[in-house]
Amino acid sequence: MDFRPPDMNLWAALPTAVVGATALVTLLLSVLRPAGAARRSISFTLFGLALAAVGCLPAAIFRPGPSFQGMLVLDPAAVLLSLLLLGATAVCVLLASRYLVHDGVDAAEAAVLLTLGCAGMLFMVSAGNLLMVFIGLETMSVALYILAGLAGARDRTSHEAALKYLLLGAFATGFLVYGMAFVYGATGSLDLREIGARIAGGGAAPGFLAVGLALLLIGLGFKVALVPFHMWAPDVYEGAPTTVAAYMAVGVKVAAFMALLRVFNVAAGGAAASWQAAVAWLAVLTMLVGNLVALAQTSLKRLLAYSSIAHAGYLAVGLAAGGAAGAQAVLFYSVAYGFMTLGAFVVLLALERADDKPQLDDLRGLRRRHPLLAAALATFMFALAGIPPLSGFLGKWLLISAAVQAGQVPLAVAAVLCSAIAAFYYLRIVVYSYMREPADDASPVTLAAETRQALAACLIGTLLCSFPFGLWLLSAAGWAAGALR
Amino acid sequence: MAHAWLLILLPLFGAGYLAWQGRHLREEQIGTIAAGAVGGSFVIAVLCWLQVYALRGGPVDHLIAGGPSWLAVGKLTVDYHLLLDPLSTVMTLVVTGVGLVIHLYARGYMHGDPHFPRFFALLNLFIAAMLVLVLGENLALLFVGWEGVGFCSYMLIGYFTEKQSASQAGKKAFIVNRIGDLGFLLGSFLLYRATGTLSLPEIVKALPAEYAVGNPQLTAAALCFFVGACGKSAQFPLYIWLPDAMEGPTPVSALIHAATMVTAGVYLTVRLSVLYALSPFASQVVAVIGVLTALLAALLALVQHDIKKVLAYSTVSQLGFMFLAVGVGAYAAAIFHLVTHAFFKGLLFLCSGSVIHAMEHALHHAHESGDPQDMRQMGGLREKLPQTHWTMLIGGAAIAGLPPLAGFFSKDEILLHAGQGHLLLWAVATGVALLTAFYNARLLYKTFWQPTRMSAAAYAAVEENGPTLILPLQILAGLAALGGLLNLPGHGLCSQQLARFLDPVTAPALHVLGAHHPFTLGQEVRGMLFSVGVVMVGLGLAAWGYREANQRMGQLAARYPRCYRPLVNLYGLDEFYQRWVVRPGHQCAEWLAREFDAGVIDGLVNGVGSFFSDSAEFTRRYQPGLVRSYALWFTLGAVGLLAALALRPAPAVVQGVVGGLLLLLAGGTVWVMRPRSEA
Amino acid sequence: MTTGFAICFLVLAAVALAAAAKMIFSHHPVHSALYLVLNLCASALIYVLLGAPFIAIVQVAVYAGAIMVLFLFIIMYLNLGLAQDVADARSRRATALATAGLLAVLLLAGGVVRWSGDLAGRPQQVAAGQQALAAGQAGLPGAPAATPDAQAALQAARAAAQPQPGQAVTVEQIGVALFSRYALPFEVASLLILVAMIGALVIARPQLQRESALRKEVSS
Repeated sequence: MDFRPPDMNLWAALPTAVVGATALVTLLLSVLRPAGAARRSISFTLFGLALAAVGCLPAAIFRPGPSFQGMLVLDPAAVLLSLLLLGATAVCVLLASRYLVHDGVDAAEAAVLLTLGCAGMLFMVSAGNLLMVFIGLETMSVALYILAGLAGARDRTSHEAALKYLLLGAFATGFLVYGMAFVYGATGSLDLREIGARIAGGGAAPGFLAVGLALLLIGLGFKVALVPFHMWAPDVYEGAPTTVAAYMAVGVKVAAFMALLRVFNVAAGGAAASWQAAVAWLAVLTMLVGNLVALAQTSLKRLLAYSSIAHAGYLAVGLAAGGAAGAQAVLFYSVAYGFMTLGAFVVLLALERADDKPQLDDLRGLRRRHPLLAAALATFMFALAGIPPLSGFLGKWLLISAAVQAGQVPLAVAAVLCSAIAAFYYLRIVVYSYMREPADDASPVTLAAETRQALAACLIGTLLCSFPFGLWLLSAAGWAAGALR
Repeated sequence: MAHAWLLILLPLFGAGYLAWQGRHLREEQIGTIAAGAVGGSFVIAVLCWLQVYALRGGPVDHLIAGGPSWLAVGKLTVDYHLLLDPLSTVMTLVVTGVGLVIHLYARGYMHGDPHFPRFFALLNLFIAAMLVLVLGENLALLFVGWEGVGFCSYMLIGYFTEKQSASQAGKKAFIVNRIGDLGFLLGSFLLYRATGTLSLPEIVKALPAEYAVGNPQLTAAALCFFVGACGKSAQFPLYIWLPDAMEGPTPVSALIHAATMVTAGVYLTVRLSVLYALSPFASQVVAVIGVLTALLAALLALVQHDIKKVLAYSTVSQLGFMFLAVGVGAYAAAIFHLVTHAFFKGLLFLCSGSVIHAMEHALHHAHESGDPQDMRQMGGLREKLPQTHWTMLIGGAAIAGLPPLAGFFSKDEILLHAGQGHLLLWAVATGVALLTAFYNARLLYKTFWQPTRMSAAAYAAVEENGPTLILPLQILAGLAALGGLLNLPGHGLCSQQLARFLDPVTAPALHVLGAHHPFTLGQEVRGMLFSVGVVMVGLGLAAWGYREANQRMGQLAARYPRCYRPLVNLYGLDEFYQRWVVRPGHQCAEWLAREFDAGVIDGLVNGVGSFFSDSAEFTRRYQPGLVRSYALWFTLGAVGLLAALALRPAPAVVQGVVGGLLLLLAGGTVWVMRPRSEA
Repeated sequence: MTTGFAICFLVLAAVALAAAAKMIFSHHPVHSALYLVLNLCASALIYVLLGAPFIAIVQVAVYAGAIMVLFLFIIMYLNLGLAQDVADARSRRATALATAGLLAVLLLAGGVVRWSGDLAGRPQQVAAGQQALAAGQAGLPGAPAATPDAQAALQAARAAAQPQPGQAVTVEQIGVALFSRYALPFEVASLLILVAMIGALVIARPQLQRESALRKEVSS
């Protein structure tokens, strides 16, 4: 038996290695020197995440090909989304240091779990093999199951959310693994590039492949909350601490969509005929249900949950469109979506009171109570609604034009109509914060330093994705989409 | 040539600035800014004119001020280009020159108006739009100006928003003009189809080269454009909006509804003179409609009592003259009359404004209520308003056509051309000239010369207006007196200056029309003498009828009610529209509103709204929060997705069976997981 | 595929399925756990049939052994009684069962049933792959292949050749695979287990803290 050592291209593994090491060192430090661990672990984690972001740069420059026998593919798309995920994790760690600690959670634990979840996400976005997709997804999910229940000491719904997420997540994972098995049965490989070559060469058993792809779509569709696999999302978002909900809404969705992109758009691109229509239907259903139900929400957290469901639908439009244009649209929209949704959650956190969850009515007169916060909220809402020239508009425009290019005009029309419905509830939030008088007992809002920093980061990110700066990101996404294979 | 853009940008910036900051400025500042913008425009217009003048006799007869491309669709390209040629520079000079004078006048006239900044912002915007109209190098840009002036006109007619009649009049103008706009657009499409371009110089070049005289396609285009011109320039049967437009402030009447905007139709037909030259039929229609309008409007002017209405019908009548000139191929004469008309009609309107201003003041002072525009309440103002009287006398004489004032030469020119083989046209036009002299004299008699019919207190309170109002009158009076010098008849060194200057524009059309015989001296002298005689008859009749406060005209009217009544009723044209167009339209609209809108559209909209809220409410309630119901839905979705992918190559029967089963299960799940009351 | 193999497989599969069903529908948690053990053992035997004895042993040792013992221990520690039959309407249960049944049918039919025109060209590829296999170029997964075509043929052959009873995968092969081709997932799996460990601690900690606080109170 000859032993062939793995081709360890460390450049490709650098970001994930740094993130994993950061988590381990933070954990060790907090155990070995408990005094002042909270502050130290937060700053150390932030430092580690920044280091990992820097660690992405060699990959962007040297462009290591598939490494570790094709397990890890740190291509430009992966670098782009890794940077976004690192940023989102950093923002969430920052927020956790303020809000989760307030809930009686140990800062080091929260930081470690967030960081480990981030490592899982990074593995997902740079996965070159279904095994890596699975392990990355599980690492991310297990971290999130726990994070969702973190506020359980204070809020029973947090435990309930965690349990729901765990049970349904396990159910979905069963589908995912079964799907991987079917795909392996159809193509004889778990390596995405080999799967792609096999499908393109006609050497894949179509029946097994179709079942496998369907099961993969179900498993990953659960993670990104595509209808009808979405029902957990509002309950879990509402029950989980808001910081964690933000982390889920951004991180999980972006990572899982990248995995979907790699599996469907790239590897199974040759079999597009078999899955394209189904994905398009899922997209339409998701946009429709997400937006319609969001209309009736008064709890801001649930509203954002349904909004994130609807946005999964938009992203699925890009997936269904396929091709380089679809991939570009998904990449761009992932980044844009990440910043604007994270920003919306940060505003929500700033409004949160100890006793209850913010409602639409709590926004009344926000303009008076904190003009800056109101302006930031309006920016995020406009961006989410897709109003030019903000990032959401550029993203939707890309998605819709990708769908039109792919000849899926009805899908494009559905996307436009659904965003028209969506404009209603996003703008209603702006109307509440700008045009309604504040309630008599409304207290002025004060922002903690961490919140301000997080808000600034999201605002800058959103503006950088908006016209005209967004055009740069747009071309970067196009370049990254072109390099996907 | 980029500075030509400044022509438009200056008043545009003026308008923008006043709209933005006007509320914080004092009246003098506003007036200065507005007039300054137009004045600057005027200076540039002079420069442009000089540049174009320098081209005379050269190989190039026009300049293009380039701009960015507007749109390029297939073969069609439309650029933001300005065309500087003799015609457009003459128009620019008139628009900015008369516009400047009227701006100066309006500073005094609108003094104390609560919406002072809005007024001047709109006036500046109008100037900008009008300049786009006359300078646009292509039909698309021209249309932008065309719509722009229409919009400003609509806004300014309805300027006194508190008056119901004003907003009604604005609406009327707007709606009638839409008919014209449709004609304009159809004409543009037809021309584009014929020539493949919207650029005016190219159209003028292409038409005679590619089409023979009498081509039906061109006739259709020409008629369509004439419908557009009829709307904008108030020709029969679309003239009904112009008299009502007098609800606007008087400077607006002078600028928009006498001097500039209403002549846009004439400008358009002259600009497209080749088209009309190539279509004798369309030319005949233009001439006949023109002279018919001139006659009908002049007759209506005889019986009006509102001083501004007289002038409004007079404007319609004079515009008819211009179209007559276009119709008989006297394009330069049409423009000549357009220019002089801008002078003397602007003057007359400003004078009437001065009278109205004084009357308002007097009535207010004497605490009397009364219509300050009603000539029956005037009389004897000659002593009280000497400056106004003198200038208005010059204006009246000019429009009546007394030598050597401007109107004499321009009208005479048209009559001469009309006389060439179009005997009936000439006869009617001559009759109109007589009527013109008559009703203008009537206006002067009733306002200034007859003994006053005002109360003593009010009469005593009449005062001449200040210099801000009088100075513009004097300027325009000078122009009205000397405007004839622009285009003296005959063949001398100073003769036909304007016609010669316009030659590059009119030459292609005249070339199509064939040999043009210059008038002999004898023809011209005879024509002049004859028209002087006609004018004299008209003036004499007026003197006979209105010299003293006698009732001769009243008696005549009473004796021939069949002649008088239709005039008072405005030929029943408004009635006609009301009965056959407006009321059926209303009924149709009402039916639609009642049956279709309330039933179908509202139902649909409300239905959509309530569908969304209902379904949202349902799906919101439909979340019992139970993990197993989520799992059940999840599984159902999984089955559906699996079926969609795995059964794609399956026979339709299998797909149908599985699909039916799925639907059944989905329905069952909705049923078994329905929200239950917590009992 | 020999007949004996087929019979063994079918019997084991039936046992595994029946055990799984009994596990779900048993009211007694201990019974459920024991049925799960049976299920795991049956699947372990299937692994043996498929030529993966090592995996089978791991399955029995870790899952049927360690984890199930833990389960049973917890069940007994908590002294759980009979599972409360969830007050579910029969219609709900029927709907759920029908849905699950349809899912199973589709999973089976989707992979197994060949709709016409499905597999054009596949036999040739399989044949080519088998030739390549015969030529001795077959190796472990990940062995370099001369051309993509040959590699594709090889993979197709391998897909067609599995499962091959009697060709057991040795522990050495698994070890080599884990430390060469699958080195990275193997390492990352440790990260996953670490997360789960931390998670268990985090969830358990409030309980621990409460207990230690109680102890302090008692002692003072």
